[in-house]
Amino acid sequence: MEDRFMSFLESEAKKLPVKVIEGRLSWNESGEHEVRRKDEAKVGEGKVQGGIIDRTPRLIDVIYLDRELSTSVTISKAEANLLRYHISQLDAEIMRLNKIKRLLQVIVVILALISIVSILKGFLRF
Amino acid sequence: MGFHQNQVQRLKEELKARFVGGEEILDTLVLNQLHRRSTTLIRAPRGTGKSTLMLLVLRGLCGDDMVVISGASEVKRGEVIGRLHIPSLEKNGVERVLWAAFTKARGKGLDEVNRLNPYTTANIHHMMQFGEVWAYGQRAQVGDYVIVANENPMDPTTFIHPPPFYDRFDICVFLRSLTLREKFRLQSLLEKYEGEIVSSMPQVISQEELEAIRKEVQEVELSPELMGAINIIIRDFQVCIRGRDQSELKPPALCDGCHFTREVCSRLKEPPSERAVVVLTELAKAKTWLEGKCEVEDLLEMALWVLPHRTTLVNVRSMVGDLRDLLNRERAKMSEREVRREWPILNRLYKEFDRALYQHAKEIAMEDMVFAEELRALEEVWIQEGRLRKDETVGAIVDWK
Repeated sequence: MEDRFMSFLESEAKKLPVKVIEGRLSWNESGEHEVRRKDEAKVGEGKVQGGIIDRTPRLIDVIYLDRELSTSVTISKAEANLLRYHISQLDAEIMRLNKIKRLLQVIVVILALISIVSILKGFLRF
Repeated sequence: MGFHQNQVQRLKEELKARFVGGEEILDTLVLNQLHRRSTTLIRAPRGTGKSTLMLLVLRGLCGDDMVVISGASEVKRGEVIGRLHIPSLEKNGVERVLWAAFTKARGKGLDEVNRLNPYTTANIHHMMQFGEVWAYGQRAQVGDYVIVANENPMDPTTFIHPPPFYDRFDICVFLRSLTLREKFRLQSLLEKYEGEIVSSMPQVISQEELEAIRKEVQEVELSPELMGAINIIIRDFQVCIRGRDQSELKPPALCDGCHFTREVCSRLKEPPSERAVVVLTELAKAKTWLEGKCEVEDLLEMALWVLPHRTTLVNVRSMVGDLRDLLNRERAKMSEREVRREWPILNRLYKEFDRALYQHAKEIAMEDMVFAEELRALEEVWIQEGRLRKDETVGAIVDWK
């Protein structure tokens, strides 16, 4: 029943009241009325003062702005695409370096063989 | 405490005085008897006292007005439901059904239900579902009853009964083997009652008293907070952003790459049915009636016995242990919701659309599927009212799947 659902929401709101004053969200915690954090949120065309409390850090902020990692992080599609791009670039770089590594390994082995053969030849002549 | 409450407490004490090794489940087991057509399933390995507990509960509530059928013997339909009265047929050509004692008795025991043949199970299932029995084209209504069943699913002669049959049982409690101290206590009890523990059990509550108790319990009104907690617990066990109910792929394969892999949902192959809500509500009412209050913590404790036969978990190590872990996660989830003031925020959004608050709600929705469902329902209304564009909604921003 919709009424019962609304009564539940009302009862929760009474138990844990929140306030929205001029676009800022706040609630009373440990007897102290505090706004933990105030963010400016750009929404649509207008700029709205938005009080965003306990906002989880974005993954990009964690990586690039050195924000502290909390239990949960938020990742948007754009950020995910950026990360995917970076990971694919890194993968390509790893593959390229692997190829060079293999080539260098082969060269080292060949050079080692040449040196061993030269040394052995020298010994035999002697 | 009223007269009826005292009687229920006495029933509990009489059970505790005779039963060893499952004290932690007795409270919920007794509470489950306080609503109409109560059904209880006891699951345990052999020899741990499941039949004893079944008989103790039935005797305490129904006295001699009980019938036990056993899955271990070959049960025919005539013994469980009814048989044809041959003289009536021969003399008068009338098909008269003699209804079996099991259908008439108030207390109904099903011993080793996993060994009942599928035909008998189907008849009992029908009785539990519709409150009636059928035999030879005739129907008989079955009144209020107390059903207590037990089973050891590990038995080699087990039939695999359909999940809807088990879903008809309100709760499923598990028994364990006795600890050293409990073994001593059992020996003392056997001496005290001269080996007749079950027959020493008195009928504590009469039929009329049980009817009155069940009526009183039914009339108890739960607070919106408690009703909300019941619905949230069960919804958290049901919700799946990838539509597990309709999907042929089940967790863990279904969860590959999902945003919510750390949530309760990823551990459930089959979610509980809506009957879990009904049963948890009945138990909460019974607890409130008996003890004057029921807390969210009590709900989480009782849910442990409401869910095991209604859900299928991924990689089960121990059903009770794994479910306890999931309920602990649920406890943490409920605390997180309180910290983030999720429901008060939703309440404000229901009253009026506020962009700043909505932005905050969207962030919450990314971490909470149940909240997200409700927010998305609100978004639909706001889109229709022209307050919101479709590309601003939670679904448009985050592709969880």
